[in-house]
Amino acid sequence: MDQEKRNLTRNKGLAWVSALTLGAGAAGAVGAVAIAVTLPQSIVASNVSSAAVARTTSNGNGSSSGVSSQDDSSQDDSSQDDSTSQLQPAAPSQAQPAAPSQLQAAAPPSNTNNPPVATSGAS
Amino acid sequence: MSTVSTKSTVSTPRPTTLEGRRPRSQDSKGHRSPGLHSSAWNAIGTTIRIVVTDAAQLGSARAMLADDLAALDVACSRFRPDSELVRIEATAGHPTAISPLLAAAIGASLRGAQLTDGDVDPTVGRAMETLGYDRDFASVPARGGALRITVRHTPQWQQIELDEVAGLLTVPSGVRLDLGATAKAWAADRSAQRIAGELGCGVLVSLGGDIAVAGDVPPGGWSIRVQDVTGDPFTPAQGPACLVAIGEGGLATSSTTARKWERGGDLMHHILNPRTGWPAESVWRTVSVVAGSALDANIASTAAIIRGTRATSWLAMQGLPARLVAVDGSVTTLAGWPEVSS
Repeated sequence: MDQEKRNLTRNKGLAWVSALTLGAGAAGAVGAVAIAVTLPQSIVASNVSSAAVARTTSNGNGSSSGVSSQDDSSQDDSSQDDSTSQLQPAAPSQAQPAAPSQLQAAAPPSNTNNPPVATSGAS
Repeated sequence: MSTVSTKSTVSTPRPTTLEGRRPRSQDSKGHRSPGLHSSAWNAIGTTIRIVVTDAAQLGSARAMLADDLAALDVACSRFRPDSELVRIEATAGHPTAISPLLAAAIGASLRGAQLTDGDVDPTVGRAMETLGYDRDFASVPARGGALRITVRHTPQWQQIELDEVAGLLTVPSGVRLDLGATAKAWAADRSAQRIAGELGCGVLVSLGGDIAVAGDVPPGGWSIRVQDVTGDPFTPAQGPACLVAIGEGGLATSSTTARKWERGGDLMHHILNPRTGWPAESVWRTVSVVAGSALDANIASTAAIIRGTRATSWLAMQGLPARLVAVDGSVTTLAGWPEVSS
């Protein structure tokens, strides 16, 4: 009798564990679906963020256009859920040093016979 | 068709006490300049020169530049105990509200660090002081005893948190900023643009040889002599020199031939390698660069000094016209800088 009770208890336990496993599996499957559903939005959000950064870096005057760029991205995708809004920090919320991707070039200097009006050297 | 050269011996410009006025139509050699009018004085520890295309605007232009420099000094000097830059050290480690002027100047320096992979780094302030450059350079003793150097972690520009929009700056404790590498060029750009915009004439602003031009371009361009040490354009140059004209942007020269001092027999100069905290190796006596702004020209020329033998390939990759004079006097020109200039 005791043996039967032990077996019954064990089986219930196994069933509980199995239920847990199935539940976790199901939850995992649901999670996977959720991720699959969310992923396109995340990608969109990432692209928007990259565009925002690109716009920021195109400003070579030391001013910060990141905030307005981020505002633009919000307008582009106002239906973003929490998961996408968490991606926003990829576009720096702080104005980092204005970051054009390279130093600005100018036309090369030319030879001249005019007398100098200024000098450039160490100071 | 006239040139007016004025020179003041005081740091505060006083147009009524100018000295050295030359005939309006010529410089000291009798050369004519095409309708340019200039004024020079000393401020922020260096030589200031402004040149305009409209004689009637010279006084106003000079006053505007003087105002800009006074504001710059109050915000950015590391030698004034009352400057904003020095005062923010009291709040190190915490976000601190700073003026738009200081925020923009620091932003410019961080941009320089970013575009040079940290070669031009504003966090070298404490290293500069350790080497003896801890006051206005005119007061730095030319010679001194051996230095006691302590090896410590070198701060880096990435540790600086700047929010230009909110005007908030966080500097880690123990980090001292030195904007000397970029502030003059940045200020030259800013003032040249402002003056040209408000007065409607052509303007050249030179802050210790960091030159920005804006507005109308004089016939033949802005004629600038590139030389070892910034000086009076009407006085013959010492050392290798060349004469070029630019019509836009800026021209800057970085050099290891000025602001030198000696400690314990070691020769120091003011361009530090941020990675070592020690003066950059003197491969080049001067590097001059033309770029879309004086700031970018200065960032490139300073980085070139620090990069030493690697400078030519880096500058060529940037596509910036440059002239590099080696310690032995040999000249290398890049990206369209005239190979033979007068």
